[in-house]
Order: sequence, then C-alpha cells, then structure tokens
Amino acid sequence: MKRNILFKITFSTLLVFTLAGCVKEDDLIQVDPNVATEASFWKTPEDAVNGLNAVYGKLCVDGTYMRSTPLLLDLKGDDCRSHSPWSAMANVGKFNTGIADPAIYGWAYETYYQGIYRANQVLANVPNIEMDQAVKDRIMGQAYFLRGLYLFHAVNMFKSVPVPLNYTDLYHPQRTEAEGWAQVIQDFKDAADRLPVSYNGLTGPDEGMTAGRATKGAALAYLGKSYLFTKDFTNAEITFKSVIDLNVYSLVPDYRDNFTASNENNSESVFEVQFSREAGGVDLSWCCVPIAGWGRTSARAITYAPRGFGWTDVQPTWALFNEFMEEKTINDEVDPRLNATILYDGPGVMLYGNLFSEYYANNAADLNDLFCRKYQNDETNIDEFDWRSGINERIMRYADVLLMYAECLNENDKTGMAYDYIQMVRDRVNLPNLQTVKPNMNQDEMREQIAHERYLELALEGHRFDDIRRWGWLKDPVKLDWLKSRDAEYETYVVGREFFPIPQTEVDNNPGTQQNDGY
Amino acid sequence: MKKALLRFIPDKLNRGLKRWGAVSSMVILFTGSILAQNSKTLAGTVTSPEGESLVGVSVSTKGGGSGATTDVNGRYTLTATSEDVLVFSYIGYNTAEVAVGGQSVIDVVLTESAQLLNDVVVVGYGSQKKSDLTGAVSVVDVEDAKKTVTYDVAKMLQGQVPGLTVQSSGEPGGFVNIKIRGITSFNNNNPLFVIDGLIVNDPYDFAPGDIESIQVLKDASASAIYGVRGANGVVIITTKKGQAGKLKVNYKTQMGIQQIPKTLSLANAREYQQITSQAELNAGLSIVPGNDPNSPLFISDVNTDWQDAAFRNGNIKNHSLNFSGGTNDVSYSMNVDYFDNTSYIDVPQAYERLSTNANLVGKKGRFSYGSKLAYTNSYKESFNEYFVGTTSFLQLLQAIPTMPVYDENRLGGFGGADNLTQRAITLNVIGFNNLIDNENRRNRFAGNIWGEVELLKGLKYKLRASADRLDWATRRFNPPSDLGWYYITTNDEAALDATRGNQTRTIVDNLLSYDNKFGKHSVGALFGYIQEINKHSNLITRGVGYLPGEISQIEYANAQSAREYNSTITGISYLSRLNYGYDDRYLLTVNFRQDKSSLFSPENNTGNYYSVAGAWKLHNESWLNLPGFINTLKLRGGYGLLGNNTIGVYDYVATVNPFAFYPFGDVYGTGITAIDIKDPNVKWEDTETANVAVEFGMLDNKLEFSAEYYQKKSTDLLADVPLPFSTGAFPATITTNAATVQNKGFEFAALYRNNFNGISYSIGANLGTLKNEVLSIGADNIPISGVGSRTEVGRSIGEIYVFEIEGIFQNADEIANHALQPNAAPGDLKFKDLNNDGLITDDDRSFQGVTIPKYSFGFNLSAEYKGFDLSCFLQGVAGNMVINNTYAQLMLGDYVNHHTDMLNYWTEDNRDTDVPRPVIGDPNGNNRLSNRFVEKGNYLRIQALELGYTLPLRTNLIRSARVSVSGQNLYTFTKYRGFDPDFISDGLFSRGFDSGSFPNPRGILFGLSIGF
Repeated sequence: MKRNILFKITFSTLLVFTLAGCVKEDDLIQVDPNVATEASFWKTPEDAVNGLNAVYGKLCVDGTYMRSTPLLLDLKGDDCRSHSPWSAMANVGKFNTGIADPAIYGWAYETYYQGIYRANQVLANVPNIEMDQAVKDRIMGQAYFLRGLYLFHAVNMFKSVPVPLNYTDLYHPQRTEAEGWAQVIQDFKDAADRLPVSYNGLTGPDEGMTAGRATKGAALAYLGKSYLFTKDFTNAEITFKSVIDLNVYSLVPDYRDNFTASNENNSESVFEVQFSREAGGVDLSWCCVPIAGWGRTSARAITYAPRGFGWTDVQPTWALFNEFMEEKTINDEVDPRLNATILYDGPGVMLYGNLFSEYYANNAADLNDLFCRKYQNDETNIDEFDWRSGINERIMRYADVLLMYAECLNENDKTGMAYDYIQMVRDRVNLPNLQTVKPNMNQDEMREQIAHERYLELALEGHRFDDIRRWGWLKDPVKLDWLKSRDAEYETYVVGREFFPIPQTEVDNNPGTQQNDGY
Repeated sequence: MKKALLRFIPDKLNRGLKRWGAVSSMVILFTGSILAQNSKTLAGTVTSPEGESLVGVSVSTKGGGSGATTDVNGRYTLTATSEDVLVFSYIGYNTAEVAVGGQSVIDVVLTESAQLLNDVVVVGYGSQKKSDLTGAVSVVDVEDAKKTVTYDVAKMLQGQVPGLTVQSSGEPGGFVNIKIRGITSFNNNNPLFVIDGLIVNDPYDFAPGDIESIQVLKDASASAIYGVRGANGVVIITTKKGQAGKLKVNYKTQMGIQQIPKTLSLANAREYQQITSQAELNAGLSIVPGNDPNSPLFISDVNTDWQDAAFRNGNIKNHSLNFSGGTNDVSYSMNVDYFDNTSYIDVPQAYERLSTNANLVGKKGRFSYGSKLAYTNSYKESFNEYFVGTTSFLQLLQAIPTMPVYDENRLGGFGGADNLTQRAITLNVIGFNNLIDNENRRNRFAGNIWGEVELLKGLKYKLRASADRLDWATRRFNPPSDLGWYYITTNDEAALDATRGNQTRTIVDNLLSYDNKFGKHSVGALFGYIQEINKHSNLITRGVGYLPGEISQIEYANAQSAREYNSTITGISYLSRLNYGYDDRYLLTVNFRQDKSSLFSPENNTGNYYSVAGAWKLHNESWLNLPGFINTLKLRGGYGLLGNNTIGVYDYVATVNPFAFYPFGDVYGTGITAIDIKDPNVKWEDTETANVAVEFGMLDNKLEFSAEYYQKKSTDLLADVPLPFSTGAFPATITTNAATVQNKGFEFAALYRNNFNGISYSIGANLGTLKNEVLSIGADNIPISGVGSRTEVGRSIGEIYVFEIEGIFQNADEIANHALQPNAAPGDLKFKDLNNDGLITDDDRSFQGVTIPKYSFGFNLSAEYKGFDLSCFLQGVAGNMVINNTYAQLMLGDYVNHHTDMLNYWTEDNRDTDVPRPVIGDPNGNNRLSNRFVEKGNYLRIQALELGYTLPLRTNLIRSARVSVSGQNLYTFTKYRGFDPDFISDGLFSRGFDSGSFPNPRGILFGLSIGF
C-alpha cells in the first residue's frame, strides 16, 4: 500500500514537472527584458536628444574631465609637478609614460573614441528622424561639436590618430596629424553653422536642460583654437573676433568664480564640462558600462588636494608662485590670482576651515610647500575624501579667448592691437595698464608677455603645456634649459614625448598603426 | 540466479533464506564428503576493504569440485582438501585465491576493482559495459580521488585522468579551472558536469562524499550525445543508490589543519627603508621622512613581518553521514555532508557548506521510477580586493614593514600608512579583510524525478524531469574606516552592496531506448527529445553613506539605488544513439544530436552534432593467437563533431544603454546610446575530434594498459576579438566566430594490481601530452595580447611574449653604445634590440615559451596488509613556462615591500649583480615584463599520502571501522620560485601569469569512518 502511494506520488509529480518544463518552438526566440534594442531606438525627437545627451556623458568619466584629461594636460607643464606614489601619474610630467602601463593616458585615448562613437551614432541616425528642423540642426550641431572636441583632444595629445566618421566600421586607419586637425576644423565649422548663440527661450525636447550645451560661441572658440594650434593665424584671428562680436561673453568680476561650484555657467564660460552632486546617484562614474546608480562628479579635487585632504598628486611649482610675485596690482597688492590658484603659508590662507600655518605647523615639509587651489572645495568641504566634487570644469573661458585673440593679432603683425585684449584680462585683477608699464613691445616681446599672461591667468587649467609645445620651446635649447630651471621634471624630457604614446592595445589591434616617436 | 536472489533479499525473508542457504550448504557439504577423501569443512567471512559483508560472493575450489555462496552476513562454508585453492570471485571486486593448507577458517577481504573490464560505465543518457565502449571514457577511481580532501569534485580530478588538467588555489571556497584535452574555446573551457543526470555548471555545490562513480567523457563518440555542450568534454558523476537490505549507516569524518607550505624571504623594516630610500635618491627625490634616519619622523619602532602576522593554521572539517537500505521494490540512500574550512590567513574568510543528497529507486511491475533530491546551503566569506586585478595575497606580501598591523588611533583599529612620512599606497590586508563583511550565501535544491515503463522486451520509455533551483545572496559592507591615507573610507563612501539572485533550470527528457540480442547481433538504440529552460533573476541593491557603527542595512544608507537583471534561455534538442555489436568482436556506435537554442538568432539557432566510432576486440578473434600473457586486446577509434555554446545571453542583438546621462546644470538629462558592438550572425562553435586507441589486459588482467592519440580541431571559435580603442566600443572587443584552434595529444594509462605475501597492492600511472596550436584568428590573424603573452597563429594559446634582458648598464658609455633606451642610467637593465633598429620598442618582445603544460601526469600507489592500508598520490605537470609576477611585484624597488633579493641591487660598488638599481618611477622600464621573471612551471607534487587501519572489531552494531591519517600537498618537487606552481589564472590568454593566487595549503587530517 505504502509503495503504491510512493509510486503514485512519483508519477503525478513527474507529470507536473514535465508540464512546467515544456518548451515550444516559439520559446526559442527570447527578447532581452533588461534593455531596449538599438533597432527600436532613434525613432523620435526625444530619442535624438537622449542620444545626444549620452555624447556629453563621456565628458565626465575617468578618461576625460573626471580625472585623467586634466592630469595629462596639466602635469607636463611648468606650472605643476607630481610626487604621486602612483608612477603612471608621476611619470606623465617627467615624460616617462611607459607603454607597458596604459593607466591614465590609455584611459583618456579610449574615452575620446568612445565619445566619438556616440557622436557618430547621432550624426548617422538623427537625419532620418522626422522633427522640427531647428531642433534637428542644433542636435546635429552639438554632435559635430562634441565629435570635434573629442578628436581635438586625441590629435592634440596623441598626434597621429584614427578619424572615425561612422560607428559601424570596426577598423579606422591611423591618420596623419594634419588629417586629424583638418577633421577637427571641419567638425567645429559644421557645428558653428548649426548651433544657436544661446538656448534661452528655445522650445523642444531639450527644453529645461540647456545649461552646458554647446553654443555657436563654443564652436567658434574651439574652431579658432584649432586654427591657432595649426598656426593658421589669419583664420584664427577672424574666428576669435567673431566670438567676441557675439557680445554674449564677459569676464566675471571675481576671478575665483571660475573655479568653484557657486557661479557655474557664468558669463565668462564659453564651454564648461558639467559635474553635479545632485543629478543622478552617488556612485562614481569611472568608466565602462553606465548603471542606474551613477552620479556625475569629478575626482579632480581629491587628486589635486593638499596633504591631509586628498591625494596631493599634483602640486604647483615654485616657478609659478614666484611669477605671481613679479608684478603687484595698482593697489600694490599681490596678484589676487595667486591666492585663487595656490594654497601656501601666506597671511590668512585657509585650508578647509583651518589656518594653513596652523594645520601644518608641526610639519616643516608641508608648511613650506605649495598646493593646488583651483577646483578645490576648500571653502565648502572639510576634505575631499568622498571623491565627489561637483565643480564644473571651465574648459573654454572667455579670458582664454581674449588672450588667444591677442596672440593672433601679434602673430599677424598687429602687435599694437593686442594690448587692449590683454588688458581686459589684467584689469579684472587690477594689474596696471600694460600700455603704460610695457609700451611699444615688438612682436617677440609681446610673445613673451602673452606667455606670461597666459601662464598666470590659466595656470593649472591644462593649457600651459599645449602652449609650450606649440610655441616650439621644447625644440629651442635655451627655452628648454629655462624650463628645466623652473621645473626639474623637464630634465627627463625625451624628443617626441611631447605627445603621449599610442596605447599598445591600439598598436596591437589596428593594423598598420605606428607608435609615436620617442617610445 | 541464486546469487541475485541472495543479494536482494528483503529483511523479512532473511530468516527463511538463511535456512535455505544452510540447506544448500549442507547439500554441498554432503556431496563434497563423498567425492573427496581428505576433505574438511571450511568456513569464513568475505568482506570489502571497508569491512562490509559481501553477500553472494562465489567461493569455489580451483579446478571445480565444491562451491558456495556467501550469505547476508558474508559467511560461507564449504568442504575442500588442504591441497585445494579457494577462488573468491565477485562482480566489481578483484578475484582472490587462497591456498587452504592447514586452515579451517579463511576470512577474505576482496578489493574493489573500479576498472574491471566488465564494469558498467555510465555514459550520456544510459550505461554500457566498459568492455563495449567505443569512445574515450576515463573511469576515475573514486576511492583514490577522494583522498584529496576538498569541497569541489573538480579538484578531486587533478592527476586522476590522463588529458585532464586542473588549476586551483588555496582560497577557502575558491574556484578551480579544469580542462579536458586542451583548450578548444576562447570562452568557457570547463567541461560539462552531469550529476545523476542533472546538468550543472558549478559542481562545488555538491558534496563529493557520496559519489559512487566518476566518468570523464573525452572524445566525440562519448560526448556527442551532449551535442552543443560536449566540446569541452563531459564529467558524469553518479551518487550512491540504496541496495536491498537492512538499514546501513556509514559515518565518515576528517578533521585537520591547513597551513601555508612556504614563505618568501621579504625585506624587514630596515631593509625596506634602505631599498626605498635608494630608489628615491636614484630618482632625484628626497627620502620620505619615515624612511630617513635623520628625520624626526623616522619610523624605528615598527617592524611588521606581514607573513608572520598573517599566516596561521586554518581548520578543515568534513563530516559525512550516509543511510541506505531498501527492499526488493524500493531502495533509498541518503547522505548528509558538512564541510568547513577556514583560511590559513588571519582573517575571517572561510567556507562552510551543509549538503544533503537523497536517492530513491523503485520498481513496480513493468514500471520503474526514482528520484533524486539534493540540497545545499553554503556560506562563503570572500576575500576583498581593493583594485580589480590585484589579489589580497599579493597585496599582503607587498605591505610595507613600517606599517603596523594594529593601530587603535585609526578608525577600525587597524594600522595604515601615512602620506607624509611613508607616501606608500600599501594595503593592510589583515585589516581590510577584517573590516569588510563579504558574505556569499547559496541555497540550492536540485533534483529529478523519473518514471520508466518497459513497453516490450528491451523497449523502454523513460520520462525524466529535472529541476535545479539556486538562490544566492551576497552582501558586501564596507564601513567607515581608516587604513592609512590612501585607504580611508569616509562616511560618504561607506557602502553596502546587497544582491539577491536566483536561477531555475528545468529539463525534461523523453527517452526511448531499445536493447536486445539476436544471436550474435546485439543492438542498442536510444532516441530522445529534450526541453530545457534556464531562468535567471538578479536584484542588485546598493546603499551609500553610513556612520561608524550604524546598522549595515540598505535602509540606513544616505542614498539607495537598485537594479534588476533577468534572463531566460531556452533550448530544444533531439538525440539518438545506435550501438551495434557482432559476436562480441566488432562494436559500432553512432550518435546524433540536434540542438536549438535561444542564445542565437533564429537563423543561426540550430546545430547538428554527430559521431561515429568503432571497436574491435581482437582477443575474441579465433584466428588470432595472442601471446598467453595478453588477456584482452581492443582497438577503437572514432570521429565526430561537437559544439560549444558559451556565449552571453542575448549577445546577438544590438542594444542601447539608458544610463549614460549628463547633468545640464543640476538637471538630469537622460542619455541613451549603444556602447558596444554586436555581431548579429554569431553562431555555435564546432569541434571536430578524431581519436584512436589500443587497450590491453595482461598477466591475468593484473596489468591494464591503454594508449590513445587524439586530435581536436575547433572552428568558428567564439572569440572576444580585441578591437582597437579607436572603434569606440566598450568593451573594445566583438564576440564573433573568429578563430580556429587545434589540440593534439597522447594519453597513457596503466594500472597494475597484485598480491604478494598477503600484501595487495596497486600501482597506477597516467600521462597526457598536449600540443595546442592556433590556426587562425579573425579575418586578419591579428594576434591577441594577454598579460605578458600573445596568442598568435602557428603557436599555442597564450605563449609568453616579453622583452629579453642582456645585462646591466655599467656606465654611460654602455648606454650611449646601446640601442636607445630613453632615460636609462648606469644600473638599469639592458634590453635586447631584437629587430636591430637601434631603439628598444615593443617590437623587441619575443616568444619565451608555452604556458599550457605539454605533459600532465599522476601516480597512484596503494598497498594493503592485514588491515593497514597505505596510499600515495602524486600529480604534476611539465613543459610549461610561467611569468612569476608575484616575484616581479616584489622586485619593483618602489614604495612596496621588497624580496630580499632586491638587497643585491646595483650600485657603483656592487656591479656584479643581476638586480638593477631601484628607482622611483622606473624611467628605464626595468620592471616591464621580461625574461627576468619567466620560469619553468614543472612540478611533481605529493598531493595526498594516507595511512589507514581497519579495526578488527566487529559487533552486531558496528560493521566496520577505519581510522586514518593523511597529508595533503605534503611536498612539491619544483624549481619554481613563486609560492605555488599550481596557481589560478584566466586559464586562457594569460594562463602563465601567476599574479599571486592563494597557494594551495598543506594539510594534515585525521579521519574516522564507521559503518553501522
């Protein structure tokens, strides 16, 4: 009897399991419930905006402005140095980047192309979406701008790089530096033609999320910069003038407003990478596959922070400090940009709520050292150890545009006209009239003056080394020796290493790719 | 017939049958007494090595005469003369012969012969006589395999089967890499595990304790029945089934300790400070205050020996309790197993598992039925890595000796390093792992239920439904703490990651089989229809922001986020097999299987797999006169096509990621984009295999020997083909059918068993050779780079590819005259300019050896004498090279601890050395991977040595009792300078890269097994 029950239970259970485990031919097609397919995307104006927003998204990951790009741009300059125990970082400024370790420079390279991949999706798919032409133009314009911006970084830092213009090919051959710049210029032109001067009052699917979008001014400023970097001073001059003539930009009265979270997207900001502690989640968006918990914050502040408040991987040079001391304001005060740029043992200098002189009182090494202040949260936070800085990175400031315009004027033999634009930048910080203190400079003298002005105005903002390279100082033995005297990291400069190496993964996997000289 | 009856007597018939047995014995006795003059009555008991009574053993005098069979208590009586020799024979056991002489009581212990030629071997969806096999099936000696004490049956296979290699580590609950006959895929190369018909990917959830048999299916003939899952080979495991008879209880326990088998010679505080200071001076930096004796901040009172602080005795415990019994109609077996293992490092990391397994088999008329139910509950506290790609173990070795283990001034109470005084980014691994909770819990129910009806004689229909439900929960809580300047976890960073997941797999097998014999023809056929569904569901939650001491639950976090992941895979398969035998001389097996799977697009979702194999039993040919010492001789060979479907779910469809947002001001702007690149035409990978073998039985089958040659060619390999970064996709790979790989090799296995003066002993050896060759990669044959390795056409997968050194620069002239090495200084390494272009670039790397062992081998030795048994198992590999990255990471000359070899660094006064100068930043790239760190990976390891004694006590209650002591991983013969030549790696493109996995522990265990 008992056995009969067991027998029956077995067979009825078997029946139930069999029915539950039934698979029909139709069941062989399974649709991913977790994500939408690409085939169902790119249908509506909202899709177009969302696709475009994702191109911006690559600006604030580790490889770009979250950390790596500012480091790579800054560290080779004579305005800063690195004593980081992380050799991939410390070696950047020493021109010792090794191809065996792709950390930082490889992440940057990779991310620029991921940004281009996203931009190319917009450029390929948005033309096929039915929508208001004005909206479509500004979406396409932004996509051209962003592709140009990512490619600008790639060409500027890695020299001979591929130029992908579609997102379907697996292999894009390496191009010459000139071919790269030609595409950068074309992209910024295509952007400038389509972009509005301002997004204020525009309606459409992008309404309400306009702060930080690329404008005509941003595209023109980067177009001018691209001309400048390729020594096309004629076009550069015209283009920078057209930015000025838009009459929408002005210098903010307080220099420090360019580097804090309090006055973002201000009148001086031509293009600004957005970071926010409020939007999204709190997870750090380093890289790779975006997830729901991601925020968009910068790790720059913890990386550059003074000892005790972050990693202290980047510190200003004494050359920078000393150069700030060279010229007093009209009130015979120290250039106010010094205290906005550098934390040091100066009168009343505060360090995250502590007096600098008191905090490091028992520590002679740090007391007599210099630390970075730009883009630090030293007035609002107690330290930077949570990694999450919400300060936007102003990558194109109107001050930079004015100084680049002045440089073009000087190069185009209009040295006298350069004074006015330089003085606009000096006036903000109460420096005396250049016409008075250094009248009638010749072209060479003006070059030196512009170098000095740019050095102080734009210190620690990733421009100094670009200037040093494009001015040919590394090829000039006198200038190179001078740089060595200002920043010992130049002692290990190797010819060719003004560019980063092409990451080994690219060399290995893209047939025909040649490594840059010096590696 | 009588034998069968006697073996399966139910309890209540015991008494009657005993009587019947006694009568028959009396008849034999009577007959014997008439026939023989000096005959006498003999009696005795026949038992197994475990002391179990063997029922139904045939006992006879050699040359005929008298015979008897043992009763339920294993007892026999018969008459014989003192000149007679008694022959004891029993299926599954070695035949024993004993001369009667003057004895009147002859007790015999029969030893099991797992590899006896008449054994039945479990093959896919059925079973076969071993002698009738046409395919390459290795039967593992389960008793030998169990001598390796482990939670994972995969580890037990190490060295037991020719052609099977295992990589493992010493982390409690850590995983095991296992490969059969080389590498046939760029994705998953682990074989398929089938436990009592259940298909499982993770055999470590099932306790090895009640395993009855393990078969390893290695070629197409054997595995084609598993079709698209067969290419990596199949391991078929069966667990104990009950037998008719009264309740039997077996209890087995093993307890012992585990410890690190060796330590490395690392710098102490003074030596660390000396080397690192020199590295700073060489880089033109000032010495950090903590290392500078002239500084008031010099650290003189801390000298931590991290190996000494961390290594301790870990515990290992295993209890296994088995009940079995049954009647003629229904039998059962149940096993309860407990395994507990704590780490040999002074941290909470551990693995604990409770598992049960119950098998039920019944019969009713033409119906038979059965079920299996296994339940496992496991808990693993995992090690924590700070950076992906580093291991806790390596970070422990690299920890600087001027960092204390404990420091009550830091939040959490553990020591750390300081930015100003030490600058080192160095992790207190003991503190880190003690502070972080990293729990992994698994609950698994796996079982099946089946019914079978015999429709006609030999024609059977079987319906089997299997279900496997796994629930897991992981929690990783990282509380606010201070482990030194770089390793500060602020309140805002403190985070809890809690994940719940489950997986349900159901399989329905419809099997129709036919077996019959017509004269000299024997025929077997099998048809099957299989439906499979695999559902997976994950809920991933994260809470960020906790105060010190706050309750570590999601709702206490400052910010919470959650996400889901769900997937379903379905499959339908048709299978068939035909076995044909003629006159026990010729054998033929044909398999066919068609698989359809939702893993691929509807156009590519069907794969057809087949095999053909034959065997010829030469010893049964009347025309062939084999030499007398050869008992059996069989030739076999086969060819077939197998598949591999290890591809991600939904991997053929391009998708968009919806979380690529951008903050416009503080406004969340949704970002949606494709981030990767998919190949819509992706399909299965195929593996063609061919093999031939010869099998001998010699010297009265005391010596068995087999030799086999195989060749496997895998085409359309699913490879994650690396793309240039400029493609823009993440990951920078595309999963596509892109490569062709070939594996070839020989396999030899030999087993010799004999008795000598009451000592029964056996010697087993196996050897596998392997040559792996990549025939094509993608359309353009672009090599695939691994860590210090390159996979290139014409070579084996993952060969070491590094720079070569040619000494140390002694002065500036040597640097000037050498190929350009920017920023080199005297004391730096000279690299060989292999392409003679005057520059040292990545083109100057060269191949430095294969990483897949050319030879893998195992030896089993055992002997028994008067209740004592001694066994020894050795295993090893040879012919492979290893990048000793553990050593490389201790020779950096940086802000991490150093190997004491580093003390011999180059200086103006110490020029005769092969250790370069230490220098922060390493401008010359001395630390790049070069042949400096390439070593031979050969080893031979005493994996297990066990001494046991079967106690002579025998009461009504206790059937048998055995005590044992065993040593695990006692000694390794190797020249490898790392911790352990048996290390875990990716097993593929960077197989030879030893980045510091947990060394396999040495263990001493005491065991006790009792049968009731």
